Amino acid sequence: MNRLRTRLALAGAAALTAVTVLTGLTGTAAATETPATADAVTATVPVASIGTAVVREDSDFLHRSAEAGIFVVPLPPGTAAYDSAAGFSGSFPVTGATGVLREYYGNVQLGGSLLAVNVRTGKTALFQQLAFDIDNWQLTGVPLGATAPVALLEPTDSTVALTAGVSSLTSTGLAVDAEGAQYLDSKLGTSFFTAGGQVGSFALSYTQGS
Amino acid sequence: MRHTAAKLVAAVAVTAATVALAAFPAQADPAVTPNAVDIVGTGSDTTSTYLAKVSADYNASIAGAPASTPRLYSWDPTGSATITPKTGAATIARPNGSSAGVTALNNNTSTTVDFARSSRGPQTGDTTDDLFVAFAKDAVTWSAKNAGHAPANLTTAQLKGIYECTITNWSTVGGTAGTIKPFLPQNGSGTRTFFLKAIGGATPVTPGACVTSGPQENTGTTPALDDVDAIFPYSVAHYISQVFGGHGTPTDNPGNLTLRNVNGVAPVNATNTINAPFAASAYGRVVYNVVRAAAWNTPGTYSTALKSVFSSTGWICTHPATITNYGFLALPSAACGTTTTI
Repeated sequence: MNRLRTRLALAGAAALTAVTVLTGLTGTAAATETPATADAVTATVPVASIGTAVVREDSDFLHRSAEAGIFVVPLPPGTAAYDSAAGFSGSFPVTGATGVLREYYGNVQLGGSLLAVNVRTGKTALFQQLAFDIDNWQLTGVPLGATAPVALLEPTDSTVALTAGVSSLTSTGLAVDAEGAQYLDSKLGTSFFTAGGQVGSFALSYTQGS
Repeated sequence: MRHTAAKLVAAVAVTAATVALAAFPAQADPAVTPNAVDIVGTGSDTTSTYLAKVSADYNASIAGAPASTPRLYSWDPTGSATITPKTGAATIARPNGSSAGVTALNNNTSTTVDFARSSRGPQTGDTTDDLFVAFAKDAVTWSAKNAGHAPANLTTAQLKGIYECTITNWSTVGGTAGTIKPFLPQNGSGTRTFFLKAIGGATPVTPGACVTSGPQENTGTTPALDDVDAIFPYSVAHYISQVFGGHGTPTDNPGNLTLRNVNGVAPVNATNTINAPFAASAYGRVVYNVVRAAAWNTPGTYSTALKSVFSSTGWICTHPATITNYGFLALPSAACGTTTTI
C-alpha cells in the first residue's frame, strides 16, 4: 500500500469514526475548536417533514477532501449514506417553506445540522438552521454561536418543477459559495475550499403550500 | 398628497421617455436573412428589445467565426404579417406574443425556428417537449393615462372587479368619476395571460364584456389608450427599459401611460428598478426562452449552439448587466439557465 492510499485509509477511518460518533449522538468531536455540544447537535424530537433535501458529495470531491483530511457530515435529523458509485450523501428533512422555487423567491427550511471536520487539525465548523435561500439560490447555514447565515453551496445546472403540488429542484452541479469557502477555510485552518469548486449534486423536493 | 406625488413621477417619466425616444434607434427585425444554421427566435413582446440587443452583442462576439458557426437572431413581434425566419425556412404568420411564439416553436422544426421568447411560464396546454429556460425576473402592473381619472393604487380585488366589469366607475375605487375602460393586450400575449391569472388569485379571470382586447402590449401609443379612463396591463421591466433605460422607440414606448401601484406596493423603486417586494408578490414573474427539450438534451452541435446562448454558462447568463439594463431583475447567477417544463 503506497503512502497516499495509507493516508486515505487513515483519513477514511477517522471520518467513519466521526460519522459514527456524531450520527450516533453519543458524544462530540474530541478536539473541536468550537465545541459542538450535545445540545447543539442533538435533535431527538421528531421533525415534521414536508419534503427532503439531499446534498451529494461525488467521488472526486470525496477523494480530494479525504486527502486534505476534511469531512463534512450531516447531523440528526439529517442522515448520511454512501454509495460507491455515487459517493456520499446527506439527507435533510424539509421543515417549512415560503415562496415558490419556480418563481425564484422564498426560503426552504431544513432540519438537522452540518458538521465539517478537519481531522488533521481537529478543528470543526458546525452549521445549524440549514436552509435553501431561493432568492439567492444558495444552501445556507448559521454557524454555531452566530446569528447570520453563511452561504455554503450553490446548485448549478438545475431543473425546477411544480407537479401535483410538489416543488422540486434537481441540480447536477453543486458549487462551493465564495463566502462558504472563505468561512470554512478560516474555521478549519485549511486552504482546501475554493469558490466555485464542484462538490457534487443537489436535490430538493417539498409539498408546496404546506 | 399621494396624487400629487404620482403626478410628479408621471411627469418625470414622460419627460424621460421623450429624451429616450430622441436618443436611441428603433429595434428591428434581423438586418440579414439568417443562415440555416443560425439560432432564430420569435414570440414575446416583453423580451423582444432585450433579445435584439443580446443577438447583436452575441453575434459581435463571434464576428470572426466562420459562417458555419450559428449566430443568434430574434424577430420582432410586430411588423409584416408573415416572416421567413431563416434560409430554407417555411414562411409563417409572425408570432406576436409568448404563446404565439411557443406555438410557432411547436408547429415547426429547427429548419424554421429554434426558440420562443416567453414572458410566461409553462401552462396547461403546453407540452413536455418544451423546455422553459429562465433568465430574469419581471413584474406586471396596471397603467393608466397620466393625470387621468384612475387612482394611484388598486387592490387585487378591485382589478378583478374592473376586468369582470362589476366595477365600472373610477369614483368607486378612489379615482375621479368616469366610466372605466379596461383594455387587454392582444391574444397570444404572455403579459395578458399572466395578468389575468394574477388578478384572479391564480384562477384566470374571464374578461367581461366591457373589456377591449387588442392594443399591442407594452405600448401606450395606441390612440384608444390615450384616454383618461383607460386601464391597461404593462410589463414593469419593459416600462423601465423604455422610460429609464433609453430603449424606447417611436413605436415602442408608453405614450402617456404611467405605472400604478397594486395593494399599496409600488412597482418601481426610487432607483428606477423593479421594486423587490412587488416582484416577490403575485405580480412578479419569471421570463424565459423556450427551446425543444430533445434538442437541448441531445448532445451535439445543435445542443451546444443553444446552450452557448441560453444555458447557465451561456451568453445571456454571463452578461447580467445587459439584463438589468433592459429593466429586468437578474436571477442569481446559479439560478440563471434553470430549466422547467409543464
